[in-house]
Amino acid sequence: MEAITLEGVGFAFPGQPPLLHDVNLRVGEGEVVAVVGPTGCGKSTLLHICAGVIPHFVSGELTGRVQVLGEETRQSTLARIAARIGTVTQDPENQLFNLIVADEVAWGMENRAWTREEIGAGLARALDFFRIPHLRDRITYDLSGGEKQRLVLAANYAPRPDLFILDDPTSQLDPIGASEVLAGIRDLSESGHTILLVEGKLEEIWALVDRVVLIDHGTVELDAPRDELHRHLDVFAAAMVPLPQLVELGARLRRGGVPVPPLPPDVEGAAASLASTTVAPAQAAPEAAAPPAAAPGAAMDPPRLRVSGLAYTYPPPRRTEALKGVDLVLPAGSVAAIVGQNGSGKTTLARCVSGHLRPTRGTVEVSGRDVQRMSVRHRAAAVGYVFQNPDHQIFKDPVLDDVMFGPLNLGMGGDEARESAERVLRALDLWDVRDLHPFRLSKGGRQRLAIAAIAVMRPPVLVIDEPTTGQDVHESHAIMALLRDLARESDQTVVVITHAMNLVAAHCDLVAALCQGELIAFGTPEQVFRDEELLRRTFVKPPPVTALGNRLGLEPRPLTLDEAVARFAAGALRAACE
Amino acid sequence: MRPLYQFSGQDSFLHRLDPRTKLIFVVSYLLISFLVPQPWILFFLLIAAIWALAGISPVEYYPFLLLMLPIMVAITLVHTFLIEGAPYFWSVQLGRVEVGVSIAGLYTGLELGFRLGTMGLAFTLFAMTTEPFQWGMSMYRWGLPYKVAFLFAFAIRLYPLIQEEFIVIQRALKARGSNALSSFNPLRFFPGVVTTAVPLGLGAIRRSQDVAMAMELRGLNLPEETGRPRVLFRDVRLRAVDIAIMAACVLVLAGLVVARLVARSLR
Repeated sequence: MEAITLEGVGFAFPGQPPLLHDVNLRVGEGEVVAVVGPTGCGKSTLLHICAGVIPHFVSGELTGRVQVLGEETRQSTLARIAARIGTVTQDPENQLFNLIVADEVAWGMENRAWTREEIGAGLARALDFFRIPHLRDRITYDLSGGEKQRLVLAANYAPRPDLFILDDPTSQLDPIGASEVLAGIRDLSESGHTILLVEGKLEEIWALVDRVVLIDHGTVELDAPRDELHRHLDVFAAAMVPLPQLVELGARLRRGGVPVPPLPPDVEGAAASLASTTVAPAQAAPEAAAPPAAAPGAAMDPPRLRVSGLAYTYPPPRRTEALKGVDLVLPAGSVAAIVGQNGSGKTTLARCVSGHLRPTRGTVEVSGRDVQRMSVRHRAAAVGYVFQNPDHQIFKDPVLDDVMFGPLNLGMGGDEARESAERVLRALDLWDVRDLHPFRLSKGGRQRLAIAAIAVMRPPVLVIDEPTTGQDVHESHAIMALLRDLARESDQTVVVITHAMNLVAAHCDLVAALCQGELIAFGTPEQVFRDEELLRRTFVKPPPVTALGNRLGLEPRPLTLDEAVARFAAGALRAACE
Repeated sequence: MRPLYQFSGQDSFLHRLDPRTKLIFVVSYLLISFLVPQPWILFFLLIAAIWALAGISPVEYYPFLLLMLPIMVAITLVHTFLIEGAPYFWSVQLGRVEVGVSIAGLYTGLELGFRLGTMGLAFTLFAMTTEPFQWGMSMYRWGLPYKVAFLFAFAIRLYPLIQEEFIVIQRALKARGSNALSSFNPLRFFPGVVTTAVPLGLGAIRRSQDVAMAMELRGLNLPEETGRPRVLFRDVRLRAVDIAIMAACVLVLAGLVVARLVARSLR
């Protein structure tokens, strides 16, 4: 029996053109199907249709036939459909309603009128299944992001649903949290559950997925078994959806005539597959190697940003020593990434640099001036800080006024502020939407707006906390490229806090890795990503192609897929000539 | 430091009491503070009780005390200057008006200030030691519809998140060069509050929509659909100690009221 059947399904929000049309999809019992596609293609809408949220909670024009677990969703009610489905969405914070973990897991079973004994047994089973029995009596808002999302999974699992619908459940999590949740999803798939999921990290779920459905232009562009995806490189490229880096490497090499087998997404597997061939990547000439890094404390006159002996301990009762004497010097015109696991001190460092926290010890200087000695206005002019959630930084309507808000606060005249705002909005491709309410922009648009609103003040140092969270790969690269252009053209120092190592490798000049409040590595991405053992301490993994370069001893290490393809293709060409 | 009025999550004598018992205790304590002449004793007694019986030291809620202090001082000063009558600590004749610092005013101001502080502290005790859902479910047991009781408890659960969001928004405002929320000038402060309300309000609306959907997906309306009543896994029940404390509160309060009435009739 099929768990989900969609036939000729279309959907349009009221007064808007159709978002989905002619969607045909079948998900068999016990199957794990991943839905991928660019931002705004309708992936989440498709999941809402399958979960019964459309048409019962979200209104719009739904056409075609939707049958889930043998029931036509239009003929049923949301409560009855939801009783048989476990649905997990992106933000765990919006899916936790109780204060105590045990109450949260029990809640769904209470609503189903299970007896107390049944609820007790279901609670224990769900907590054990997701390996969180130790959290049973904890307060939900004290949990980490990964723990919260595992709790949401457990709460959905406890009433024994027949189908799981998971909408990008790891997109808001740090690498540790994401790996915890992915382990939970892996357990679900191994125990034979039917799963329909949207997940941006295709390489992470590769092993557990049976089929991948690619949505683009409002419909299903591709529905193929996982192991055949490498044959459809063009379809993925047209939709600007990346395949796992090493799978794509293999596919692109084969297309270029390089005799390699289809590569698996994991580094060890890919290295083993390549070892069985005669293909050897080209080693670059020594002069092509990356330039040496600006070491901490290196002489730069004048240093744009100098962090000296920075320490910060949170006040009681927390008393955590978040930074333990960090030294860092960043030059003007550079893009630097701060990486490390949650709790490593990244955000504390960024907040000390931007003056939002007063260090316990040490100093932060921008162009030789101590940030702590500046007034709020001078500090805002010296160090721009873009927070992680763009929605926390929208203060004015429309877009143009929001961007002008900062310069006006700094005492700029109206005409000058408007001129500056226009220049930044044009650079960020937001000029055409200048008269819209900021909340009408897409998440990517709002993220660009948050950057514009700070960049317009032309601060010499720009600190950005997770600029690409929740963005698809294409948008993420666009934002990072934009930051690099800002750094180059305006001679700004851009500091980015991020977990996306492929973006760091492709766009950043320098990387600072923090671990438990200490700087453990600093240099160019090529230098820092060499020492995987050191980076493992802070849960940082180099991009797969760089890690493959580490395994194969490539000099210098490839940082992007394009670099890796070029190196292997050149190696194959040389081998053919010889 | 926890956000103000947030459940502390510990296990103590006060935490284990039924929310209804604590509510009756808090209301009784407030009324008692109006009946006894030296409310500062009750204020400090409450701090000691929170420390001894709930294991929460004042360090954990000092922001609340800091918040109350200027209000208490202001009330005391206003009364010290406004209430006339000898003896005076100090006085000066300004034309036909005598401005002075009266001892009677100081005492009245201190009494009112500490009563206000005691009220705030009593509610802090309740909030820090009462799990919102136990509170909601105890209201449900006293006849409030389940959805109303649950959503009321959920609103309290949401409060610390909104408080944290507010702090982030306040920082974001500073990052845009505005120090309005730290200004003592009302012409700068209130526009700053309005500016902050935009992201805070829109964020709350967005969050409430997502939460409502998630609740429906987890079966909030299932009992009404199926006609099978909801089962509470962790029910709330009054214990003997709860009933004893409630009775003691009522008795002490009644005793004080009677004593006051008798004292007044004897005068």
